[in-house]
Amino acid sequence: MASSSSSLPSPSSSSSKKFILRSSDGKHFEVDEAVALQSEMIKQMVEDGFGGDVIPLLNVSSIVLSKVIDYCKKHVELDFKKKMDGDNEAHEEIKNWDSEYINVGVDELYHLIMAANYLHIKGLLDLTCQKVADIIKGKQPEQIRKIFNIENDFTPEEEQEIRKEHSWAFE
Amino acid sequence: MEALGNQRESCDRISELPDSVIQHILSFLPVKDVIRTSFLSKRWKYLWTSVPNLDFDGLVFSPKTKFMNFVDSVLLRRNGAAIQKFRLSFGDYYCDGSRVHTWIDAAVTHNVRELDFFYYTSKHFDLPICLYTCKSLTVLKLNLNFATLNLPSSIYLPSLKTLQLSSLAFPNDDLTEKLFSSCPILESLILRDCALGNLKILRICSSSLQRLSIDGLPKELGLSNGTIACQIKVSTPRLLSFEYSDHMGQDISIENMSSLEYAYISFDFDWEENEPLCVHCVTKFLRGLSNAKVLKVSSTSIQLLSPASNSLGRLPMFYNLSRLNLGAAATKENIRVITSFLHSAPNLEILAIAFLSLVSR
Repeated sequence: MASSSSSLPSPSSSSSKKFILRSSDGKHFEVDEAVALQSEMIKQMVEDGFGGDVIPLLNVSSIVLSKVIDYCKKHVELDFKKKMDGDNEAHEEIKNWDSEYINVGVDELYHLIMAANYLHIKGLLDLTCQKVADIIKGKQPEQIRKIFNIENDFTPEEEQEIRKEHSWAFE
Repeated sequence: MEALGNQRESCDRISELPDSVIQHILSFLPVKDVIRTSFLSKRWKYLWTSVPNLDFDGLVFSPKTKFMNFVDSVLLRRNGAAIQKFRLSFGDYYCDGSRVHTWIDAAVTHNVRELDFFYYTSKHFDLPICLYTCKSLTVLKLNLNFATLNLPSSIYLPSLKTLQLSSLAFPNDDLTEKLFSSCPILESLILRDCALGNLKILRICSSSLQRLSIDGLPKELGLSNGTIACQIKVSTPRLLSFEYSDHMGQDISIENMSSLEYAYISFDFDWEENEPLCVHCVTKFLRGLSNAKVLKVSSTSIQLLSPASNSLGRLPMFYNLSRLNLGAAATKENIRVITSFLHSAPNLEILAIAFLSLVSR
């Protein structure tokens, strides 16, 4: 399941170097150099001379990797646009695209965060972490526990004690 | 991606994230929400004590003591981890000035890198002296709701790269100049709605500055006759980007901007009938920007120059200018002003004009 990258409008699309990424379940993805290098981890590997035929990504499944590649491709495209059209227009487009992209369930969000953290893709890590923060914001602990399936493992006495200590956070 | 979730739909994924990632998530939240996460489970109980960013907003608290105790508690329980961003936003209704000193001291002790301080006060207030010699500080943003920024005589901010001053009054010529020149690696300086009433000259001299933005007092806060005695002098040889919005007809001299690439200018005031002065000041100002590669001129500036369009013939030459963005209503006078700009830009590659619907003035 090789993914093509012919839709990129940047001048680098047709001529540039390609990388093949291998997911944890053994599927191969061919991507442009600029797309692969959105990942600081891959960048470091390439600099250290591991940029050979196939780059193995042991912690990322094909389903997640394909979604991560969508993000990187789009951002390479938008970065290029930003240089051409100026910050403001591109900024708006990035915002809209990102908010559509990140409109996913909690489980998928978790996998994207783990992948962004492993691959060191700062933009994607910020986007996904911001999304979790937005979910938490303004909610009471009971609501947050429910959304993320967090088990309350405090004894009633412990809970009482923390509640007393931080009473001001609940008003 | 439906295949992802099915297997372990009901498991607690978020708590499985590494500490550093959870702290990154917490850094996007106001402190109150951060504290609440300590109730979620044992896993979360102490994570907040080393969250890199602390954002205290007084507006979400009603009685004063509550806000003060809240900030005190958080800082008291803080472990040794450095503070990345520290934001305090409140009025003297929420807090005594003396408490603020303790908090900023604590931030400085925790090697704060970014401080964003917004204080609405009607009383005299000085920031603690230790702030002005903080070695770790890279970003400093101050908004004092038009109180005077009282500066100490000893200032040295060796790591400061971004300084943003909003809605405050400068103390006097010497200390103000000293503030800018005591930041040896300062890259960005943003002055927004700052009152210059105490100054004769606002002098900005910096050999490291790359970005300067001056957005003058809004019209309604200015003096009634539309002029101010203070002069602005800028000498910034490494400056790349300059944005200047003038609502007052300020006297500004650009002494050195030899590296300039991008400039935005917006004049928005009435010259009344003083055409020659208008042309003289604008010409002098533009000469200072003549190295720019990209120039953006607001529609209000074009409108302002339009009564003088006949005498505008000789604008300074912009030999490096490759891109010019203008906004203007499509009047005969405005077109003449635009033509003057075009005559001054022999190497122009891109011209973008946003024609506005005609508004009579």
